Amino acid sequence: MGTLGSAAALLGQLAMLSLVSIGGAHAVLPDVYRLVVTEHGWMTGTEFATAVALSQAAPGPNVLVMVLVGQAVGGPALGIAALIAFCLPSSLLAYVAVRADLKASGAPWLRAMKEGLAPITVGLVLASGFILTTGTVGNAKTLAIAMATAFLGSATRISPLWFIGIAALTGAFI
Amino acid sequence: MPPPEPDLSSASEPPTRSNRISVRDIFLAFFRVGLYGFGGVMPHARSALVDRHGWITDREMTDVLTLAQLLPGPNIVNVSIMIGVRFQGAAGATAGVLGLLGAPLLIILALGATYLQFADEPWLKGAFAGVGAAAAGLILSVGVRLAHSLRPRPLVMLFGAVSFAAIALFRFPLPLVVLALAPLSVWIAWRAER
Repeated sequence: MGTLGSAAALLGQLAMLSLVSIGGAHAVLPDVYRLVVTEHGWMTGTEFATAVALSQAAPGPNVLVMVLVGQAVGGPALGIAALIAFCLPSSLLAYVAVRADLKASGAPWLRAMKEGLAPITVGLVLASGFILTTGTVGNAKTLAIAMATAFLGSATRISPLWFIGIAALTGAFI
Repeated sequence: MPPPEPDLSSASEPPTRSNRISVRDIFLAFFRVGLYGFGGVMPHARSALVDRHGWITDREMTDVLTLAQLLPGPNIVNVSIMIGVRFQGAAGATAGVLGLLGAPLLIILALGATYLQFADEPWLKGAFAGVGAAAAGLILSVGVRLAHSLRPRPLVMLFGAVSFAAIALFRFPLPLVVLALAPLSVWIAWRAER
């Protein structure tokens, strides 16, 4: 597949995922991983996980991981295009929703949607964490890092920056 | 002791819908939110919009957030659109998104170029392996935190478990999973509401 073909495949996939991304960028990571790592080998599993980590360590929302994925596949321009492809469809939907004045917070249908979608969001985010863990953990050390981060991250209010910094040092020097 | 002067500038005044919140104000507010948002942007958005600027009340913020989470897309991007539209229509929404993502986009591009360039250094490879594992663990921790907020009901647990298994174990595509499970789950929740 040529460069243009890979760019089109990535952008098309991101635009489609945008519309089903309940739970945000985290929820779509397994599908993006499958496209760029498993199917096409545009990135290695470790590169992909590093991109996720960088997007969590840098300022700004986690959705910026799409920039790093696009950049790795086809350079900075594709990075920006990837962000737009992932954000634009859902943003247009949000715009329409606000224009339609969907804000009655007590409305039964809104409560039903919230109750109904919540467990699916949880399942998707946990699945994402599971797939990233199996894709990146290669030995006892990385397994220990992933498990310790998962435990401390859910049981404490320590900033994620600490985990990422300590994990980098552990990975580099131990 | 004289009675206190009425304070016209503070939060005692109800938030207004006037046009005094300009496109530029929206851009700058979300610009700051984007830059300050290390490891989670939403708390910064709430404190900026509700406390610092007083553009919306806490309750209105909760309404905005609820809808932002229900809709697909990154929650904070949806929030910036909703707030932008409320005060300045489409131009406000655009300003909100550009303000939010502009500076972090440039920073992440620089970071990305750097890590791609040095990715073959052996000690960096080790560091990246560690960092990637931490990122995976962080996403698991987000999922665990979210799971704690669920109502402990059998059907809720079932939908969580099925959506997890469909993606993590059976590797079904996300669109298929969402389109198959979401309508059913929402319908059951709707029946339970009535």
